[in-house]
Amino acid sequence: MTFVPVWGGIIACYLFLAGLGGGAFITASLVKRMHPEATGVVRVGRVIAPIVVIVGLCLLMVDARGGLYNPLRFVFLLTNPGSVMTWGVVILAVFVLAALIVLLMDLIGKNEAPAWLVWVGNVFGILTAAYTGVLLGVVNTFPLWNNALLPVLFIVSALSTGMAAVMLGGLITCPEQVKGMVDLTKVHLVLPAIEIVLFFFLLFIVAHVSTAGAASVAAMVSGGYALAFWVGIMAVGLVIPLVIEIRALRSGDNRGLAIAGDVGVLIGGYLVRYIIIVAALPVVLL
Amino acid sequence: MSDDTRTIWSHCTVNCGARCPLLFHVRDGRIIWVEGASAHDGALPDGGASPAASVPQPRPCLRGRTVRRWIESPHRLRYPQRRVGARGEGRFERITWDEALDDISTRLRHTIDTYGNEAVYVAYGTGVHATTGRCFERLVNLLGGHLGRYNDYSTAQIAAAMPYTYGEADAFTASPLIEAASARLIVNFGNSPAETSMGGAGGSRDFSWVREVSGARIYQVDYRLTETCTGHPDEWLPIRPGTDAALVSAIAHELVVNDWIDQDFLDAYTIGFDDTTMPMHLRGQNLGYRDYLLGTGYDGMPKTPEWAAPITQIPAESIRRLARDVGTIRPLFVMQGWGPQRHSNGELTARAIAMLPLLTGQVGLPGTSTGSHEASSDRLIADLPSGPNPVKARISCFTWTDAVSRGTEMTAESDGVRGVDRLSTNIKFIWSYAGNCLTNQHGGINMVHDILVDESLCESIIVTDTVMTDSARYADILLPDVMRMEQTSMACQGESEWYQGVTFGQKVVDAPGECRTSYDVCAALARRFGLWQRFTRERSQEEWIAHLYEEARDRDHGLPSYEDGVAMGHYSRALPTTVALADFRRDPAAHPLSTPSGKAEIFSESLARKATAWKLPEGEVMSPLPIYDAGFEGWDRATDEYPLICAGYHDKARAHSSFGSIESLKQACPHRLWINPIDAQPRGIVSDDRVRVSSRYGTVEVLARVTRRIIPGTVGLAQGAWHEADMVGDRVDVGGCINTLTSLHPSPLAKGNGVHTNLVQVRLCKR
Amino acid sequence: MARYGMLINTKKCIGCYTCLVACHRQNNLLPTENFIRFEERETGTYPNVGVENIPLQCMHCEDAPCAAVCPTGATYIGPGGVVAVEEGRCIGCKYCMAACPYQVRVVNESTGTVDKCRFCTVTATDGTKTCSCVEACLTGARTFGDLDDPESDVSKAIVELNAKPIAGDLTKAKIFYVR
Ligand SMILES: Nc1nc2c(c(=O)[nH]1)N[C@H]1C(S)=C(S)[C@@H](COP(=O)(O)OP(=O)(O)OC[C@H]3O[C@@H](n4cnc5c(=O)[nH]c(N)nc54)[C@H](O)[C@@H]3O)O[C@H]1N2
Ligand SMILES: Nc1nc2c(c(=O)[nH]1)N[C@H]1C(S)=C(S)[C@@H](COP(=O)(O)OP(=O)(O)OC[C@H]3O[C@@H](n4cnc5c(=O)[nH]c(N)nc54)[C@H](O)[C@@H]3O)O[C@H]1N2
Ligand code: SF4
Ligand code: SF4
Ligand code: SF4
Ligand code: SF4
Ligand code: SF4
Ligand SMILES: [Mo]
Repeated sequence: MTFVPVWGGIIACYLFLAGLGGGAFITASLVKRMHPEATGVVRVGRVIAPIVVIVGLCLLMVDARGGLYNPLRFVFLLTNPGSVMTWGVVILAVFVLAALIVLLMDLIGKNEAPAWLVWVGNVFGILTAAYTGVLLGVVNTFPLWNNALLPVLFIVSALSTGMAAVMLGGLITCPEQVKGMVDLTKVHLVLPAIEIVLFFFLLFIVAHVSTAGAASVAAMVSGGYALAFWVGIMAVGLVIPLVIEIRALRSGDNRGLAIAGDVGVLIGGYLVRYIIIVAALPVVLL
Repeated sequence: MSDDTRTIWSHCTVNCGARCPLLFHVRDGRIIWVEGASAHDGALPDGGASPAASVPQPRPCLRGRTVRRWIESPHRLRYPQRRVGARGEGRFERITWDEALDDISTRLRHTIDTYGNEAVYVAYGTGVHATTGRCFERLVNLLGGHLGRYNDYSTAQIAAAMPYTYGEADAFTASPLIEAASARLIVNFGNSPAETSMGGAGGSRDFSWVREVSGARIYQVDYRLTETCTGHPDEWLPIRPGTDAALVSAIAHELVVNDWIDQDFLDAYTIGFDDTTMPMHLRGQNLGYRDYLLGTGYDGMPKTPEWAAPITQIPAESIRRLARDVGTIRPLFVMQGWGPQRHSNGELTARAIAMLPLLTGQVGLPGTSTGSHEASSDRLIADLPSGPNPVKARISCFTWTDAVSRGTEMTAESDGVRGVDRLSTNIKFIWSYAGNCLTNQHGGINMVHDILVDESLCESIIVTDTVMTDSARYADILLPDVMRMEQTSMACQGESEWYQGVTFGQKVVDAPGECRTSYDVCAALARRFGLWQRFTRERSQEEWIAHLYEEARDRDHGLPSYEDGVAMGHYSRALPTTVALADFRRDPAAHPLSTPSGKAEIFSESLARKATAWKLPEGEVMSPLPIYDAGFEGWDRATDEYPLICAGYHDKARAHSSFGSIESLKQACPHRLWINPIDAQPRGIVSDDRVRVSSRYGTVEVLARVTRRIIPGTVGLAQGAWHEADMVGDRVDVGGCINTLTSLHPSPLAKGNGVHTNLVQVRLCKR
Repeated sequence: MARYGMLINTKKCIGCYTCLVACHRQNNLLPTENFIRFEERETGTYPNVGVENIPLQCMHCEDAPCAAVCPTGATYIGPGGVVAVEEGRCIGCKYCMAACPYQVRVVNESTGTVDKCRFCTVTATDGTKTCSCVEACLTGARTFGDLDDPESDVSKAIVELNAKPIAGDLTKAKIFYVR
């Protein structure tokens, strides 16, 4: 029997946006600390963070048709404290709330959001990113998901995509502020590198623990998803942005290239979620 | 169960051989669900209990359980219709019943007056099995009769051939499947009860019970690893289709050279094995079976396992192993399905398989059979009598298309016409009731189409069905029938189970639109011919059913009263197992067979005479001995253009074309062409690819199922899928009906449908 | 309280799908809603081909991972150890489908909720004597009953035929297979 993945592009998008939102919030906090003058960039991050997570949640509800047709059922979401998805709902709710208040205060501009609230946002931003990985990670059915590396990979990818989104927004709305954030560029450079390493570890381990794992990895690296994996994730999402950043460090900024690199990171980030969701094969029963 | 729900008994009517009682749960005039008799008895009794000792549990299969989707199908025919546009185009207009009946009676009158009764043909059709399921024959016989037919699409070759071995009276004699429980070795040729005898109290359960209690070694000779072997794949002996007689010959050769034959039995009970029992005037001419086997016969070829291996695709060692088992393990139960005989050489195959029990003397003893299909029990209730048919002429049922296009050329010797030497007229009027045999189930659909669209040939086609079938598209007048669940209907147990039963079907729900029962339709036609009195005997259909039942009860006092029966809904009783030809075995003189010699005839002199008298086309073989011949269009005629064999089979998704449009069944059992990886790979085909299968006669498109469960070099396509082609365009059948690929060429002796013999090419459709 | 379970004898199963269709009607399911999933397994190379028809359905795991992950509590372990779905709570998030290693949960295309085998004897309100799939089986390949009662048909058959869960201790499954 050919296995039909339980989830598809919509849930991948949800996981991607949730991670991106968390990452964007943290990026904004980082920028604020390291380059307080870059208020435009900070604002971009704070606008992006809650919005993408809310959009993600909406996608989740669209995919959960049972609830979509009977919205009152979403109330039950809080009833199983043992479920990672229940935690996720709590985490995302707190995060969205915190991020929204921070944003509102920022927009109204009277007084700065209190530091503790920003910290709540930061912590729940990380938790949001981690949750997307743990959600998959606790599922025994799929060896590709069921390992400790996946949440780590998702956190790194979340930070990376969050940062890319903020930089992208910055490059479009206030390019002059982005210039000279060399330190951030370095972080921006390290993340894809770590991701590549993590990814290969993940694949290596998964491929060696079980037949289903090996089959999933094969589907990614040499099977039906090979194009998306090598071109989409590896080239467009990781290596090319890396090269662009290195080049930027050496020979100065190039706005066009920088935009391309960040778009690449976003595409790659989405594909990471998508491919991990659809390429996962269940444990072999027989 | 809520109180406003009623349960009403009726029965499944289609031709899978089982006729299961069905229990309908009805609320507010709508069926809410359907279940079987077993709903009350719970699970099947476990292993130990013999089906003959326990209460029969005729349980419906997946199809019967979906019958509600058929009854409520949006595609039900609701009103009488008349063709508009060209024949076969499928365009109709609604008319009234009076218009329809007037039109039909005018056409019938005209046909009989102009061409005579021999021009009236009642097509084969098996969609309704019930005591009042065939009414038109009764009417037309009162009108002077109709062109008769003999044999059928199921058993043409074995029915024609087996009488030469066992005699007309015992052509179908065999032990029931449950007798195999006493056997130590079971050899089953092309017979898959798990598919063809699924429901009822039936074959599939009997077989699984036999396997459990007998501990017998089982060989299942088939080109596919059938569902009957699933869980027991080691039983499968893959064979190239159409070559069973070669396998039998090689086994027989081994039996002879190892002296595993029962010479005493052969001498006492058979003729023609060797000169000892050859008819006097034929001795000394090396005409016997022994000579054929040892290479001293007509073809000078010893039938060694090495000879058979390249023919059958079975390695010589495997043949030797099987031969040793056949030669040494007793009791031996040999049976055949009707798959091996539905081939262009099926007559030879059918008789050949019966050679194994004969050579080993494994006939008429406990745990044995005759090598024929397993037995089925007698029905308790007689059908509505058709009355005598005044027309003597009969054709083999598969040759009706010939009788339409060139009937007056058809003779006894050239086309197997019976009753007369030559037909006096072509068929001009066809009545098709509850059949899809004009096209879908007949053969060579593209050629049939060309014959039927020519209105100068057959002038009138009347079709009665419940849904718009491919055959129905060719109707001039199309009548909507009431399904059996929508009227009072009585049915007996089917043909494949060893028990007896009667279902007292009651009307479950109303029929849609203006559907009319065929009894009422025929009675109304009879009135137009002034025959109402004689047709009905002033009985309604219900009264006929009660009357036929009471007649049976006069003979069989074990039956419950009609009222009790109706209250019970379903009556059944187990039958004790029996051994075929036990009397003959015990005392052959007192209980001779109905062959000319009174013995089992290995060499048939009457067949030898027929072989010389008949005019056979080039390449066709008829032999007094059960020899092997590949048959026309057999595997040895494969070409580069058509390198693969394509055989058919009956599968669980449908009973023929019946149930063929039920979505949930299509979902559960998708229609796919079986193809071995060895044949699929070079063609770049993987499972669920769309492929084109072409023969000399047509092209179908189906999904592929790449599987090791089929012998290489052969592809398998289940019969019965609904033909679906643009007949004015490319004629490519995207429904995947195997009869788009088959030929109209009848088999030599039976003049039957050898439709399991086909040569094809398979190609991948563009992805 | 009983602890319900089932035995499926793949040596007897002919893959006829009658149980599937009977289940459809018992539970009033859509044609696409298959509580029984057939795994047809081919092994070996021609002509030494092995074939098994394995009907899979909810194993009513005692440690049901589907219930563990269900965020709404729609999936729960009910009386008799029957793992059940309360449709009115299910949001259709499909997390349970991901968590079920046997892939025997299905989406109801019209409601968007997720469902699965209900061990319908126990849950039926129509007086059905045994699960429809058991009653309908053409070959007697299925046996249902109380695993805690050593005298039940199913307990005896499990011992006699040495039946085992399909995938070892992947979960604490309550359907036992003869293979
Ligand atoms: N290639 C190939 N062709 C074959 C075979 C094969 O193995 N290979 N098998 C052959 C065999 S063995 C047989 S028996 C024939 C069977 O061929 P058919 O006798 O044509 O059988 P069905 O296709 O089931 O057609 C029965 C028709 O009856 C209709 N029907 C069902 N119930 C009712 C009812 O209550 N009233 C009316 N009026 N109609 C009803 C159904 O809708 C259906 O159209 O096919 C033969 N054709
Ligand atoms: N589910 C279902 N059951 C049915 C029917 C149906 O349509 N569907 N039709 C009913 C009717 S009317 C009839 S007549 C019977 C038909 O019953 P059969 O004629 O016995 O059925 P087939 O499937 O044609 O053939 C039986 C087996 O023979 C195999 N076979 C084909 N050719 C050869 C060969 O040359 N040699 C060997 N050794 N094996 C071969 C096929 O693979 C198949 O497994 O079934 C009845 N039962
Ligand atoms: S198709 Fe045959 S086995 Fe199935 S329910 Fe109808 S009569 Fe019974
Ligand atoms: S088999 Fe699957 S659906 Fe059933 S209880 Fe176990 S995990 Fe849940
Ligand atoms: S789909 Fe329904 S039953 Fe499954 S986990 Fe989500 S809410 Fe629970
Ligand atoms: S126990 Fe009931 S619900 Fe479960 S598969 Fe069998 S029939 Fe369906
Ligand atoms: S009804 Fe019985 S034999 Fe048929 S598929 Fe189901 S379990 Fe197997
Ligand atoms: Mo038939």
